[in-house]
Amino acid sequence: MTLGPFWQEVVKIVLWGTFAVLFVSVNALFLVWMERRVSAKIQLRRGPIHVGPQGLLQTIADAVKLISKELVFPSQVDKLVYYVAPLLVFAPVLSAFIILPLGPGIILRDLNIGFLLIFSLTNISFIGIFIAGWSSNNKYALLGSMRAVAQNISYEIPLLLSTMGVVMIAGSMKMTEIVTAQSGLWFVLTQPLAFLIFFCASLAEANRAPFDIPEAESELVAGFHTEYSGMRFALFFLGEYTAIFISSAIAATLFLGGWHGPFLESLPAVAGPFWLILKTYALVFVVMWVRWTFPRLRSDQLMAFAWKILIPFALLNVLSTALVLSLCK
Amino acid sequence: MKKFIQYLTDIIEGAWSLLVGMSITMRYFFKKPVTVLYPKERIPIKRFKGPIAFVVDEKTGDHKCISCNACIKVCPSRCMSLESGKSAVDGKRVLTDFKVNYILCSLCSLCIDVCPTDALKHADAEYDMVATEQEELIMDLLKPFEDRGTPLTKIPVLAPGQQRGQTPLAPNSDPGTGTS
Repeated sequence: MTLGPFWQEVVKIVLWGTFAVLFVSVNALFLVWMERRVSAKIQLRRGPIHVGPQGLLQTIADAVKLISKELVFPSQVDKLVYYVAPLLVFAPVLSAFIILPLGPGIILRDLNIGFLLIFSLTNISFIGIFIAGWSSNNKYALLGSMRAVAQNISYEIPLLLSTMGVVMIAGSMKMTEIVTAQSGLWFVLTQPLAFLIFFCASLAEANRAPFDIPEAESELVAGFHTEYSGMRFALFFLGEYTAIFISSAIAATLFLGGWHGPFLESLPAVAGPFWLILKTYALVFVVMWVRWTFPRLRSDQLMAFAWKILIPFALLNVLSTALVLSLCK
Repeated sequence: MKKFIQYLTDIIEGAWSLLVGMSITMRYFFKKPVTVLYPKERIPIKRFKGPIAFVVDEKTGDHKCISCNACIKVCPSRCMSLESGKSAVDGKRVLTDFKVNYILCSLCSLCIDVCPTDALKHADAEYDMVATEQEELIMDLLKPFEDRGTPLTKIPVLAPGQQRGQTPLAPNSDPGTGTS
């Protein structure tokens, strides 16, 4: 039995989507465990160690608790918007799996606008964050969501500018071509400034400390998701951790050579995903390391950092890359 | 121009401070955690006044009590009792029973201070003692040594009135009357 090309595509999309959803859930559970263990190590504690081997099942127990909890529906919320917001936050980050190149040929769609599409799609989740705060009928939630939007608009600019150098060297926005261009030298060596800017900006995009003023616990209770409980809250949480994973994966692809690794080159189907995931988790570890090292920035410091430091240096990087490239021609 | 240099040095100094901070947290990452998994792990707490216990002699594994009664005399709450017998071997005094009534003990440490052989101490790792019966709190300090069968507890003791050379009784045959 052979399927037509249309049905082949449908099967491919369904399989890939199932894989993505499964991976996202397991990955988020693992990342929460990892975050707790890393923070515990840094603070000379032990973290979760009792449930399962090394406490690995702790987050599963937490997830079961969250699922079984009552979904509290606060009075005077904007009902439709309140329902939609968690989905709007979670769904767009899934879209990044469309263009994530796990290995040579292992990619769902090698779009010619590549990661640009992902950055545009993930910005939908900021709408989700904003309407979550807006519909909650809570001043802390509203303040948190307004901060989130201001922060994300500011940091979108250095994020995209920092990738321009990579695009100029690779000559393409396709993810596979960017990775192929790094088969010799990784872009983190030729574009170190861009990598740092990208890393800072993606921290801010994922609302991670030290840029976590949208959910500053000491000021805003829990920020935009103050009024969410049970599984709706879990969706926000899932979206946040997936966003960390996705931005680290894109950083690994753009700057750290994607599926390329020092050995195992003879088995590209195994080595590709292995190296990419290894690099991604290494970056995720750095993200956690940063979170447990630095205090939260004030709102105005945050804006100053984006507009006075990141954007000028990102522009400088673009200009100097262009200059070097045109001189070398 | 001066402002521009200031701007650049601020950035460089700021970046350096970030690196220093991250190196500190990385150093802590590889340190041993200070957490004690309490019910599974116990650590002795120095200067903690636990219940009165015998010091275990490191060489012989035995207690050091010479049955001099100094602790009994000094105890302000009269919670201790001691009984001794004559050794059937060399006629020396041998401890046959030592009990502390923890209900009465006020943990004043006077018995520890007065002991000429430093035989007593506060048990520093027993900080979660719980009892549901009063009998459980009348502690037999000699029992762990008898259970292990240390040399001092095996010495045969003469019964009251018995002379050395007569048939000795079983070791520590006099169980003592306990405390009141």
